[in-house]
Amino acid sequence: MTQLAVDVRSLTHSYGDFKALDNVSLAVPNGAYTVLLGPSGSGKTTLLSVLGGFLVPQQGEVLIEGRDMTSVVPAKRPTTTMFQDYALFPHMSIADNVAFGLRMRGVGKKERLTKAMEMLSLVGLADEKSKKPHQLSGGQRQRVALARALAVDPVVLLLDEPLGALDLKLRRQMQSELKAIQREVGTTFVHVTHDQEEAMAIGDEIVVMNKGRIEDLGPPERVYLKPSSRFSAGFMGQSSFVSGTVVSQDPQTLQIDTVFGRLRVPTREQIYSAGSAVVLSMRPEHLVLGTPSAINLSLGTATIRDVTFQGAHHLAKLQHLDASGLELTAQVPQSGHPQVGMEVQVSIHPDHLVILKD
Amino acid sequence: MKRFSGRSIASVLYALAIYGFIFLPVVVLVLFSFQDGRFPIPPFKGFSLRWYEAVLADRRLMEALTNSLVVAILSSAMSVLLGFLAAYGIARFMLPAKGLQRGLLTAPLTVSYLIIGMGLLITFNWLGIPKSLLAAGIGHVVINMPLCFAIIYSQMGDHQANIERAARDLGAREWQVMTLITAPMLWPALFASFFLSMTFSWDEFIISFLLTRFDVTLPVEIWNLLRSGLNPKTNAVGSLVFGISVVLLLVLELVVFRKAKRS
Ligand SMILES: Nc1ncnc2c1ncn2[C@@H]1O[C@H](COP(=O)(O)OP(=O)(O)OP(=O)(O)O)[C@@H](O)[C@H]1O
Ligand SMILES: [Mg+2]
Repeated sequence: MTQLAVDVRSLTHSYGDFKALDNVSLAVPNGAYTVLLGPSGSGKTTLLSVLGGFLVPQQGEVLIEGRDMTSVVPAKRPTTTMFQDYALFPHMSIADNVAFGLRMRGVGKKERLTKAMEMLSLVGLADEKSKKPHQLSGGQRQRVALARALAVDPVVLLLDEPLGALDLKLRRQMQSELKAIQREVGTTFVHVTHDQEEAMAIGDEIVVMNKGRIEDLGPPERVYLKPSSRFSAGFMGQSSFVSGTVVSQDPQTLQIDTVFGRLRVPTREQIYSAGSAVVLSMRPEHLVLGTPSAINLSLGTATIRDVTFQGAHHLAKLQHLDASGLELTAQVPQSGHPQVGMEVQVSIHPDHLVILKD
Repeated sequence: MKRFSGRSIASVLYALAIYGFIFLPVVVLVLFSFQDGRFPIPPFKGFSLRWYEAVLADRRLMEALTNSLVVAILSSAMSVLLGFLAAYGIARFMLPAKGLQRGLLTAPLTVSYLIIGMGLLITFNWLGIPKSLLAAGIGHVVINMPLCFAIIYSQMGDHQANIERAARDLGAREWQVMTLITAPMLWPALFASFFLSMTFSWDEFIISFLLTRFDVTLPVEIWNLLRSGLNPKTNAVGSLVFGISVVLLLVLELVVFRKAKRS
């Protein structure tokens, strides 16, 4: 049996009438980098506080490495938290900050300072060991907070929007550093963010949260390419949505009625009953403009309404000719020169079409 | 040079009057402590340190001075400790009727020392606690603890709470959080409240007067001295009291407020 670092079962927690966590269950394997992704107020911090022991949930249980930790105080848990404002001890040197956890565990001065130096080298701050926190830059403070949290060899490291206060460039750089450090130490990381790019860049597993529930959970590719809910499809990157009704499903094809006619999609694993409402979700980079190839599903003709240049590609907003009100967003290659007002045929490869229950 | 209008001259005079009103009595007190004569009244007959010698040679005055220092230091330390614990408890824990408790803790700030002194006198009488320096010290804790609480509490923000949370997360127990994290982080507030308490305790008269008997504090001893009439010796001891208060305030200013400005 592979050990689960974190195993939470049916957590529910309300603030007054408001359910911040609504029956959340989540298993995090040992050594994984898990990212909790969701919009503001979706309960990410609440879930993290429950894992760290800062909040005792009203219902449900928290197991860490198989042991029940539901109401164990933070000090006695094999977890440490890296706080968003870093929460470094302002009156202590960097080395003493990092060694604090070991000091609390009764480790001798020499030994804990050796370990602290080891951790500081890991985050590239060995030279700053005798400085005070206020003498460091934001990015450096953040590394100290990381070193301090890792120095006690926690089973799980909890990070609440650790990169939120950094500027974009530093943020992208710290993302790869965080991931590299996680690989090196092998500790389980649970990282909260509302930035989907960060989530995809860094996570082995992404947990998409909305309104106190888990909407979707899986490796970034899976969550991006085959989102399992409309919310997840919309939050993880851009998508165009078209609603439809299932007409029939036989062993070869699934037929769906949409505003642009009947689509015949090669059958999926999932079984739909005739008449059920579905939503088709399409990523901009999957919409093909121009004469459709034989295998692609034709989505009809649309007019280019607006084009924005994104550097690596153009993003075109399309207005469907048959269904006014239906807007699609498609990606056009750099060299594509899309012109506003142009009429184009739109199609999509059947494998790229994501069908979601409405 | 026409800028010196009537208005600005008036405001300069006004300022002089204010500062004169505040400082003239002190200047007179100090000046006549150096009087080379038997009466601390004009004319100033010449400069002499003999009254200071007399003060230093006076056993009772010196004992009272020591008593005052001991009472000031111990009662201030106690006030800071209690104020800190109260602030920590109220700022960091869920307590019933928190607002009311906070109000009750700071309420003594608005009660006159006379009332507090009388209240303590009656209470101690009833409890059988004799008049003593200890009783006066307790009185000083009663007047200074609310002040210490208010100063320390005002410095306990959410940011600090998060830092304490981090310490707990790393395995610190409650007493370790308080001694290793909270107190060092708050030391300017602790230091400031300690020195303010010292200055208040140092020249507090009415409570000490009501609650001491054989061993007394310096202000009470000075009062005893004054009953036998004015002489430059009372000026000298008064100047000493004033001088020590000034030193305390200077320490406070230099160590705490300068530091706070820099960081
Ligand atoms: N102590 C509290 N008292 C009352 N409501 C709270 C409390 N803490 C959080 N909430 C509410 O619970 C919901 C979830 O909060 P939470 O902090 O977990 O969200 P989040 O996903 O971390 O959001 P963000 O991205 O803004 O940090 C929010 O709507 C918030 O207003
Ligand atoms: Mg949050």
